[in-house]
Amino acid sequence: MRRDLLSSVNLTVLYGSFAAVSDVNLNIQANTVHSIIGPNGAGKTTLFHALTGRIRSNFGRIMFDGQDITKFSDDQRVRLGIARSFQVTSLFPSLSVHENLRLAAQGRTPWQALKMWQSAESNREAMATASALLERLDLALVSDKAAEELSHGQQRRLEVGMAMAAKPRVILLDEPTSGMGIDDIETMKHLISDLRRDHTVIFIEHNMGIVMDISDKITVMQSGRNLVEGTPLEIRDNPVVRRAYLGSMMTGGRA
Amino acid sequence: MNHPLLHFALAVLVALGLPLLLDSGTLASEVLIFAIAATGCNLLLGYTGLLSFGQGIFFGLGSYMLGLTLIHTSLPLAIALVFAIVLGAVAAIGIGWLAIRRQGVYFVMLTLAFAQFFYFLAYTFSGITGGDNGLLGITRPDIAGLALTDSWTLYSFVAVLFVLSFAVLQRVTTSTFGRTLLAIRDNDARAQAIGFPVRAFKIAAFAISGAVTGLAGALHALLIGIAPLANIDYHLSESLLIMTIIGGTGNLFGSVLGASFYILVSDTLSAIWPRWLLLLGVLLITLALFMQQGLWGVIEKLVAFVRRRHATDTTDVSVTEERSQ
Repeated sequence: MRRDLLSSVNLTVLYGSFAAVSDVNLNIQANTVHSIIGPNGAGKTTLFHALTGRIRSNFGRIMFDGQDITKFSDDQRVRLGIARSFQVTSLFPSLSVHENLRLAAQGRTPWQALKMWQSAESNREAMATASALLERLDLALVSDKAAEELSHGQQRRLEVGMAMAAKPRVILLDEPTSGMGIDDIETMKHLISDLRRDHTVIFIEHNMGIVMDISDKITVMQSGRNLVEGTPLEIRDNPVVRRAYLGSMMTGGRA
Repeated sequence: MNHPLLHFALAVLVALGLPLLLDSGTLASEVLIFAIAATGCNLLLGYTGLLSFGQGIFFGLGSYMLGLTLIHTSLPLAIALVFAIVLGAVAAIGIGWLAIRRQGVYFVMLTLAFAQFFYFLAYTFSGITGGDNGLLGITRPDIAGLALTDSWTLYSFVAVLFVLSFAVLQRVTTSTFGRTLLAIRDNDARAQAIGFPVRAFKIAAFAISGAVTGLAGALHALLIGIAPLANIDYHLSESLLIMTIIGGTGNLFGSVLGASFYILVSDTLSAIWPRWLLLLGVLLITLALFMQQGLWGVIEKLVAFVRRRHATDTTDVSVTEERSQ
C-alpha cells in the first residue's frame, strides 16, 4: 500500500452561495497518475485552484506529506513541491522559450532572484533544468523564439514544461491536450505517463482514451462533488458513472 | 543593438555631448536630472508593467528633503542627497505596498489618489514646505572644494550622478531580479503560480524607482535653488510618464532620449509659442498610434534598415565580382 502524498478532507470552495467544490475527499498516492474527470462545470479546475492555493478553500483541509497546507499561499506551495499547468495557456509571451523555463525553474528559490547584482545565468541549476527540459519537450530548436511565436502544440508542451521545471513532487495538469492535434496528443500521453517515475501526477482530461490508458486511479466529479473513485476498469464498469454522464464517451482506450 | 555596454556608452556620450550642444549649463543639468527620473519611471512602467502616478511624490519629497536638510542643518550635500534617496525609497515602499494590492485601473487610481494626497499635504503644511511659494533659499554648497555655484561645475556633478545611477539601474534590470520583473510584466499571475512572491518583487521595484526619483528631485531643487510645490504635483508624474513613453518603455537609454527630447523641445518651443503643449499632444497621439516603441524603436528600425541596405549592397558587389571573374 502506497502512502498518500496529497489529500483533501471535506474540501469546499464557495463562489458566493454557489458551492463550486463541495465536501471533496481526495487521496492521491505517491508516484501515480490520478485523473479527475467529469462534465464541464463539475468543479475540476476550481479543485485545482484550491489545491495549488490560487484560491483559498472555505472549508476543509489540504494535507501534503503529513503537513496541513490549507493556509499556505500558492508560491509557498511551489516551494514545498506542488506545481501546475493551466487549461488556458499562460506563458510569458514576449520572453524566449528558454527564459520561460528558466524562470519556472528559478521559481523554487524565488528569494535568490531578488539579488540585483547577480546575473540570471549564475543560477546554474535553473539553467541546466531549462536546457534539459528543452530537449525532453522537443523545443530545443525554438529555444530562442518568443513564446508567443510558437505553434499551439508547442505552447501546450511548454505549458506543461513550466510545471515540470519546478521539479515538483506533485504536478497538476489541467487539460494538457486541449486543442491539440492527434500526433501531438500521442506525444503528450507518453510524456505524462513518464512523469509518474519522478512525480505524482494529478490530471484533468476530457479525452477518455488517454485517461483510460495512463491513469492508475480516476476520480469522477459531478456538481462539485466526487461521485466515484476507482481504477480505470472499475470506473468504466460502474453503473452510477455510466448513468451519470459517461455512456458514449467510454469508447476509447485499452484499459 | 541591445547590448548593455552599448547603452551605457550611449548614456556616457549624452553626458559628455550636452555641453558641446548647449550654451546653458542649467538646461543641460535639467536634461540629465529628468533623465534620471525617467529611467526610474521606466523601471516600473517598462520593466514591471506598473503605470504609476506616484513618481511626482518621490521627486517632490526628494526636493523638500534636500532643501530642508541644507537650510536647517549644516550637514554636507552628500548626506542631504542620501536623505533624499532614502526618503524616496521609503515613501515608495509604503505607497507601493498599498497600491499593488489592486491591479490595472484600480492600481493607477490609487497612485493618482496618493499623488493628490501628498500634493495637498505639502500645500497644507506650508510652515515646513513653504506651501504655494515653495521652499525658498536653498544655496548650493561647495563639494570637495568645487564651487557648485558655477552652472557647468554643477553640471559635472549631476553628470557623474547620472552615469552612476544609469549604471546601477542597468545592473538591476539585467540581473536575475530584472529578468523576473519582465516575467511579472508579461504575466504576473503565472509568475505567482511558478513560485515568485510577486508583491515583494513589485515593492522592491518601487523602492529602487523611488530612490532614483528622490535623487532626481533633490538635484532639481539644488539646481533651481527652491523646492517648488510643482515638484510634488501630479503633473510632474505625468511629465515623467510622457518622457518615458516618448523614449520607449522597457529600454533604459530610451528614457534618456525621451527626457532629453521633452526638455529640449519644451525649452525651444515655449520660447516661440506659449501653447506649445498642443504640439506635444499631437506628438503623443502619433507615438501611441504608430510608434509604440518610442524614439528608441525608431532608432532601432533605422539601424536595421541601414544594415539591410548595406547587406544588399555588398551582395550586389560580390555578385558583380563573381561575374567579372
